[in-house]
Amino acid sequence: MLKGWTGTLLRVDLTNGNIEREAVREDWARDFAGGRGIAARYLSEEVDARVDPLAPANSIIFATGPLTGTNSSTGARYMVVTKGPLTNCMTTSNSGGLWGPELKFAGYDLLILEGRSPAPVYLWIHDEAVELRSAEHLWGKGVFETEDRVKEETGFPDTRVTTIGPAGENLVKYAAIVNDKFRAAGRSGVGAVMGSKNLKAIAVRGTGAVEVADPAGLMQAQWAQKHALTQAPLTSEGLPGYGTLALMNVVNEHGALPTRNFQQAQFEGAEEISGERLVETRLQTNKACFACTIACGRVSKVSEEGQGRYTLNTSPRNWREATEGPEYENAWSLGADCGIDDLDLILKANTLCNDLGLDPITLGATIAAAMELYEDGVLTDKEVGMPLPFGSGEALIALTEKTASREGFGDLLAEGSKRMGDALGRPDVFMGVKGQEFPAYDPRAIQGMGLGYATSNRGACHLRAYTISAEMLGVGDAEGPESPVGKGELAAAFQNVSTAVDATGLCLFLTFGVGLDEIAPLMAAATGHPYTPAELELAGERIWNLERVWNMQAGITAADDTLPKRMLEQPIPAGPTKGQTSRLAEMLPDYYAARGWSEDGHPSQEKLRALGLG
Amino acid sequence: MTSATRTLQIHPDRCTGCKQCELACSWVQTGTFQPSRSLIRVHVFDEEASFAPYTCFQCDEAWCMQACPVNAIDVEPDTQAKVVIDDVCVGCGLCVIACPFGTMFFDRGSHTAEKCDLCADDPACVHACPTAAIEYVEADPVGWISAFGEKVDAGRRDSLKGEL
Amino acid sequence: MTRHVILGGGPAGIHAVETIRQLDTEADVTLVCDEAPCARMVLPYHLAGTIAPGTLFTTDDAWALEHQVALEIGCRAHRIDAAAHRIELDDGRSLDYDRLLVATGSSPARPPIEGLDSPRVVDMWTVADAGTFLEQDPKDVVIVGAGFIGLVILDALIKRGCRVRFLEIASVILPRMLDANAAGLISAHLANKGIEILTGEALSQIEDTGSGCRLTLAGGDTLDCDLVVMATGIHANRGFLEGAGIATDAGILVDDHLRTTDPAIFAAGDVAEGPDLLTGGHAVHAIQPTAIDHGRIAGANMAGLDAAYSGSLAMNVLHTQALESCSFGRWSPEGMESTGLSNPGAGIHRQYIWEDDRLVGGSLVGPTAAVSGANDAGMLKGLVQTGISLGTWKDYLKDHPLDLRRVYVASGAPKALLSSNLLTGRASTGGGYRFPPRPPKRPRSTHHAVLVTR
Repeated sequence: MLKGWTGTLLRVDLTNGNIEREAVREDWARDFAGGRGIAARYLSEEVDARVDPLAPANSIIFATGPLTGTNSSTGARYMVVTKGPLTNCMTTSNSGGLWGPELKFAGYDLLILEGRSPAPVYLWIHDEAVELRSAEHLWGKGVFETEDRVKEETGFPDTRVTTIGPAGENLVKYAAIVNDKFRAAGRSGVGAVMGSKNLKAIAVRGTGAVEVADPAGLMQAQWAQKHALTQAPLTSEGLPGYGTLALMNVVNEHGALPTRNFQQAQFEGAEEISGERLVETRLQTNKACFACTIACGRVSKVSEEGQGRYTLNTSPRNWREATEGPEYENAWSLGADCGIDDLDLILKANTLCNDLGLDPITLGATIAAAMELYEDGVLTDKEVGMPLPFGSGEALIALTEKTASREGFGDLLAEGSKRMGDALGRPDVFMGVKGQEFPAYDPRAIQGMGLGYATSNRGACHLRAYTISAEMLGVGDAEGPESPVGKGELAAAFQNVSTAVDATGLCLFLTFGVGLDEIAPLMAAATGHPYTPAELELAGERIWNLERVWNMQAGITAADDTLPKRMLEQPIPAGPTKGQTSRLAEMLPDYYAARGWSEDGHPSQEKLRALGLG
Repeated sequence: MTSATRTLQIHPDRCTGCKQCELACSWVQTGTFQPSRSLIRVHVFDEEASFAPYTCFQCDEAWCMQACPVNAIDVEPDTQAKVVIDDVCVGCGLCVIACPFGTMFFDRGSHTAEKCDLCADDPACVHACPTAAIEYVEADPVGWISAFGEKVDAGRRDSLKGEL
Repeated sequence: MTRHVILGGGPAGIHAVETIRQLDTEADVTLVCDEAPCARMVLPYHLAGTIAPGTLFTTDDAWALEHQVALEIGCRAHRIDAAAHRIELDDGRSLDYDRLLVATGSSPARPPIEGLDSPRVVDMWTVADAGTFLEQDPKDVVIVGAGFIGLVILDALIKRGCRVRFLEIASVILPRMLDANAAGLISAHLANKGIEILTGEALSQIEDTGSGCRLTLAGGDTLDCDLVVMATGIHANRGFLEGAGIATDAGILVDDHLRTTDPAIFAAGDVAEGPDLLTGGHAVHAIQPTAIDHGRIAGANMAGLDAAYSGSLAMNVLHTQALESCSFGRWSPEGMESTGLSNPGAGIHRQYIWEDDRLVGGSLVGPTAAVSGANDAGMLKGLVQTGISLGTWKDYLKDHPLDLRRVYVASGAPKALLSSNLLTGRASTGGGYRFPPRPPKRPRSTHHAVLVTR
């Protein structure tokens, strides 16, 4: 087996409690590079694409990469791969923290969880010893309490826990899986899949080793990688200094900050919820995931003025009022998108999302859509149970809780904004792709992001093709954000590279400072397979095409590679980007051509054969 | 502690909790990445929003060295580090329970005791730390841990004020 | 020139010699012991065959030369003439002293049972005992007594391929190290590994069958095996003190300078009943760390230093088939307030025993990663050893039994410990007894160079 990998996967059949170890297929490991790739390969082999995501026949795979658990900077990541209930596509949801490396140290590259347990359980992995334990007493508990209790039950202070909250149990379509209390595989409802399997948590304590093939080569490559990260402005100053929230003012000033469910592209309260404001008034420290030398995580406290008003009674036990976050995307979804400019309130809502196990992006976006419907008179106090104008923090908090428990109006919110809009006869309020809500960049203002959203395999997502890097942030070359020119190739290239990075076990934020030129030597030294940048990019393309083919088997067509009418037809009403719409129709053919796909978005047989998928 | 002796000074306020020190230390021990074998451990202080790498203070008393029934622990003359002589150690574990700092470990693989030996005057953890939270300097080892302990303690008293 | 005589070559005696010599290069030092000084803690590893035989012994001629010690090996003290400052040896000779240290240790205490004189019934106390065992190379062993001394050789015997059974008269194992819950957890673990522990069973007789031993229990049942190891307890070696006029109780009573009621006579180690750190009273703690403390304090005072001892702390650590256990101070929560967590199914146990807001005892049981692979065992010891008041942290530890590290750092214990030495103001030096000679410097691992090369 290639080094970097443990070579072992753990297969758990929750229906009958069978736990088995298997050798990881080395050819797949090599060709699909790591976590996201090999998990997609196993899923496509083992799960019918037409499966109901919440049925026992769906599997959920937790996968690390060859660099997870090494000292390569950001070697912290694991990927949750399954069919997502929000999108009905293959979803690939990534998380950092400490849990992924712990799984490697316990001796496993992947977990494949199948079936459905007859009663709530959690999985306890202590090196070779693996068991399912009853989780009856944990069912209904929040993430914070569950983690504390599971840790105590295992007896190790250093046990790492990934868990669902009530949202996952209640099959909220965008329930998250949360590890280390504040790190989440957030999107597409992976937590609901776990909940549907009656699996509350996975606790891991690993005392083993991750071995690498070429020690001297790896050390050389990781010093080079870390040095590069200290030289790039975003990874040496922007992210450590302000976290992802550094983007708030930048994106707002550009006129690309979606506001009030994408009715505007600038938010008058952006400054109040910016990274700079967080640092001035609330930041306690920055925090790193495992092996990360960037350390963009935020540990924050409610401000002096906010004390009392927003007591974080949902904070983890003994964190005093400290909490983590918010990330840019969450401050946007819970803030600008809902017309809320109160950072204390956002901190509280964000903490609630962590504890209840909700994806804050879809939650905030769904509430924003409901706010629009309320202001339009489609929804009234009676249906919602409270007033729901834009800007209402009280409603945001109350509905976050109700969504997780599916209580009252929360039951509809729990379906996401696409299903909610359809149910209320207003499909136009859904701002997303393939059932999944947009993140925090207006696709009308940044053309490449729009194309990336439309073609993403897991529904609207910024992490699949972060073209804004090249279009606006000065990382790489591209036409400006207003231009559709060259964006097809750009998006495809970003998708391939991002997919490859996801597979390695490193964090995508790395790419603000280094590229595959720096990552390939790490992979080669760790695994012993002579990966080149081109081979890694090819692996990314292979994974992307595999996901696409599976999604098409699941029923996705080119018609789904689109954006809502508002993005295509309604110009941005004011600000520096006034008048812009998404020029998707101009970009999409370029994209399909760049991918070697047919005009109707099918990967061609030649392409699949060239990638070894045909 | 002679004044010329360098010690590992920890700056909890600089630590981000990334565990690069644990990775480097376990690398030195094993040539692999295995944090469970690291002799420096990053402790997480959630309530303080702080982290603190923690390892042997190379204390004057050297409880570990005194407790060893076979004198497998000795003072390295250049650094004053207390070091385990692997081929003398029998693995009885007495040093682990004699050390009142919790910085002696037992290795399941080799069945011998393990402790920080300052990498013979060039600690790998210092190389690995991206934020200079671990420095190898001439300083009193009591300094950082007392100040940090007081901060943690004062914080709790503050937070309980309302309840008492 | 002061004449020091040290009776006993165990850790207490050896440390006393080395401490005296550090403080006084002129004094006359004589060490009397009946077998070559050895490290008893090493016997299990000697049985397992994992160490070189030389590691067993703690002194040799080179050590004696370096420390300028007259070695009197192969004889014992017979009688003390305290008035004359003279010790009579069992070979008829006598030695005069100015200061005498009694560090004669302890011996196995055998129960009054028939058949113990068979060569197939051995103690496990001396190098000679181990030799008797190894010569017979038994494959089926019954250990009588499931306390620390019996269990500490378990792993070695399993490694040798022995079948091992324990016979214990009490209802639980390790009654002087852990409480019944924790001990039960270890019993269950060993039972899972196929190691039988018969508790609540009294032994009435052992019969040498010519090819092995037959043990008869009080109830009439019998057990057949190749060899019996007796591990039913120890008693202090102090018979020769009769008539010397020194006060004794469970051991020789000594004050905080390790001085007996005779100002010229000191006592240390298993034979001494010295200050107890936790109670302020006196106790016999027959363990290596106490022997070493005693030896160093006694040696320092014999050499003229004024070194007071705050007292000894009971502690033990045990590895039994990949399950580790350790305890500090009080091990029984009876009549005490205790907190912690217990998860027998997972083989996990953590216990904190309290007096007001101070920890006066504690124990951990679990796999290596939860005990000696973590900071927690030593930190627990530090908290019990310093006896530091934990104030509101007591409640915190009750609520968060796993988060000992935070409590430890906040307690101020590290500062207190870093500022204190057993021998006031004196840093420990290395280079005591040891074989083979130590390398001058521990080399860096080759991996280190790989890492630091940029």
